[in-house]
Amino acid sequence: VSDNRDLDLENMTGAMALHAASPEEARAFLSALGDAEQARNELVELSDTAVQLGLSVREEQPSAELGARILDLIATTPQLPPTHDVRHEPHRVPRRRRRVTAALVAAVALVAAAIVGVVVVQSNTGGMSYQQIAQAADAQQAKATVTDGGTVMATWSDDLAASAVKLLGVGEPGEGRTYELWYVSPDGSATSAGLIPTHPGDWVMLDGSMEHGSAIAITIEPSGGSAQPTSTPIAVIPTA
Amino acid sequence: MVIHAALYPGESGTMRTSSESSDEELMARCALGDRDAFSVLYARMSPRVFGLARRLIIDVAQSEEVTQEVFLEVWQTAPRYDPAKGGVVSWMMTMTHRRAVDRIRASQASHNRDLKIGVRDTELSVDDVASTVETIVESERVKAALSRLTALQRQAVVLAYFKGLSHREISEALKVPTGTVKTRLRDGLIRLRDELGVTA
Repeated sequence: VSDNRDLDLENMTGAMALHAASPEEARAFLSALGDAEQARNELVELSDTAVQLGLSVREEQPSAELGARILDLIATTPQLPPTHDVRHEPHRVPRRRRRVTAALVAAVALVAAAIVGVVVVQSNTGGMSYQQIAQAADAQQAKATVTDGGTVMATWSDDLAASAVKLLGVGEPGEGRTYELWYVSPDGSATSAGLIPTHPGDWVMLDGSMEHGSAIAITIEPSGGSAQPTSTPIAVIPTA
Repeated sequence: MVIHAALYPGESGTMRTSSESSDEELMARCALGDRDAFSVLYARMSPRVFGLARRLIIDVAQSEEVTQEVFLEVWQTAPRYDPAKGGVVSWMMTMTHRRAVDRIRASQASHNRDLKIGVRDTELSVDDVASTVETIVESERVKAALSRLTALQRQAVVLAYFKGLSHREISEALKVPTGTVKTRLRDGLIRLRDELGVTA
């Protein structure tokens, strides 16, 4: 451990556990943490220690109104779908490491939270072609890394309210599953934008019309697709 | 979603929920949309969550808002809760502290004003931190563990955890470099960890 960055990384665990770091520092710390096993373990232990401080505080009964209000609210609050990680990798990663990983993926969880909402399945591209989008005066392009490997490129036009994606080096979604496209509007609601056919090879048009400021997201769904996302997106491309 | 619908056809009485269920059992039921289980969890945890929020924020209305945020997040993310990632109590208390601190930082302007007005004199001194511990820490075990810290470590840890100050604010208030504050926070927590026998 010879450079300042490393020294700071080691020295940050206490401040992180006590939520005494700025958001920028916290992000930098978590991304620099990487495979630093010792710092990861220390962060978990010091966070648990901070919990002991929290539990030492005198308990206080909140008002009955608050309890009633919260129970009312959850009756109409949708729950997030379970993630793939929880179901498919329960024993592969050591416990300590997984706990820090939970903190690392907090940003992804936020994206997933934005996906839950009212879903309306659409099923037409309005006769638009990729060429039309690519040649639009306001055409834009971006790419994103797919969590399971590979890249997704997107081309869109706000004027045409249309977009298309292309997968590069992305594996098949697996037996009985399919890639599904979504428009996630700025208010957080997700709308199915169709399925990506097996072995697409070329640009795939998204169904429906793209609301300005939407993000394009891809999830893995059971064959035939879902009316609403049931897993964490493997890729998200903001268009604004 | 399909799985949930099959297991849980919209009625909350199919699975027995008792006040003797473990927190983890309750969370597993919450994950299936069981509002009775949530209600038991709320009854069990809300005094801790609200108590901690009040300790940090003081204001009752804002502390209730934080409590509401915490429990809504618990409900929304219940299907993703993984017991191997840490106990329910730890998860919820960490979430509460995080949100309470966010709330305090959101009203940063008034917070800074408070610091200038004299929190420094009445609450930041080593002696007053000691009396803070005496007043707010109920657990004798935690009190004893805190007493094993150096006065400067205890001061930094108490200001960060119970007052919600950032290491930068502590450094400004005490006029010591941020690196020094970070070191005190870390060394203090490590000492506490060892005194309390916390292991991951």
